Amino acid sequence: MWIYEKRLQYPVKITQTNPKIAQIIITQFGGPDGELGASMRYMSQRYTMPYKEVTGVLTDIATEELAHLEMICAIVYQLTKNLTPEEIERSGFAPYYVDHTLALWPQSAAGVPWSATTFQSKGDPLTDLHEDMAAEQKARTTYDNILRLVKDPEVCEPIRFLREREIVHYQRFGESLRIVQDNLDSRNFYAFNPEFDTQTK
Amino acid sequence: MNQTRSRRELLNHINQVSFAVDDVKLYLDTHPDDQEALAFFDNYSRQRNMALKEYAAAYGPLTVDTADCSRSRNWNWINEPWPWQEGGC
Repeated sequence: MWIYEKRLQYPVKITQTNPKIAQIIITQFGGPDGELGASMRYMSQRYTMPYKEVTGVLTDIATEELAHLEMICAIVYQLTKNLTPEEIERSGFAPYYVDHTLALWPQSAAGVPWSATTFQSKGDPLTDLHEDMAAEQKARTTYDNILRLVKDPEVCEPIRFLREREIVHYQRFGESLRIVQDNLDSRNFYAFNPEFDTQTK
Repeated sequence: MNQTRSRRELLNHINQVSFAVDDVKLYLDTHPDDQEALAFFDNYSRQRNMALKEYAAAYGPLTVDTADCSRSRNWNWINEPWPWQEGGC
């Protein structure tokens, strides 16, 4: 069950359109390290997670990623609002426009459609948490790359907020990994998979 | 003193206390016995719920649980701008 809240996690108020930058930022909606993939990754992994603290982290971060996806979409929407055909032509936005007009659609900056193949749900808590920590770092790098290209402070501010959240999530997943290891055999973390094998003590 | 805050001011306050709740919630998932964090959560969660009610009464609901139809003849959930629109943030 989810409940919608009619506000953004961090405000987005952009007064200058910029379709070039919109085409780059949209990658955090539907790209390989974007917010949609992040949410679906944690949302998928949580069902078989045997430790309640980690199930909590996966559920709550998956939920926060949906709020980030909404912020990214708000940024892209405001960057492309009321564009004229001339502005679309000039800015290189035409290939996106011809398929989606000014609507939001999850794709990478290079136009590759969003795909579940960008993440794993492996059914082993050590494997999944290493993937999750890497995912947060990949998203952080993507935001760093975006920040090198964007000059408009109205765009930079919410992007910086999102970047900082990746670092916090990385920290929480690191703590989750420690909790998982505390529950395993300290002489051999790989002795059994707590999401599959039945423990015989 | 009990004057209603401006829309912008109240929404900023809701964003701030809600962020405190979002952040400490993740921390509590991995530190469920941290008494200081529990008190922090309680404080900001209470402020958030009060502010959401105050906002709904003055400007319209942000959550379905604060939507109140008793004083309105129409469904005001759809009247205020959506958060990506002008005036919604």
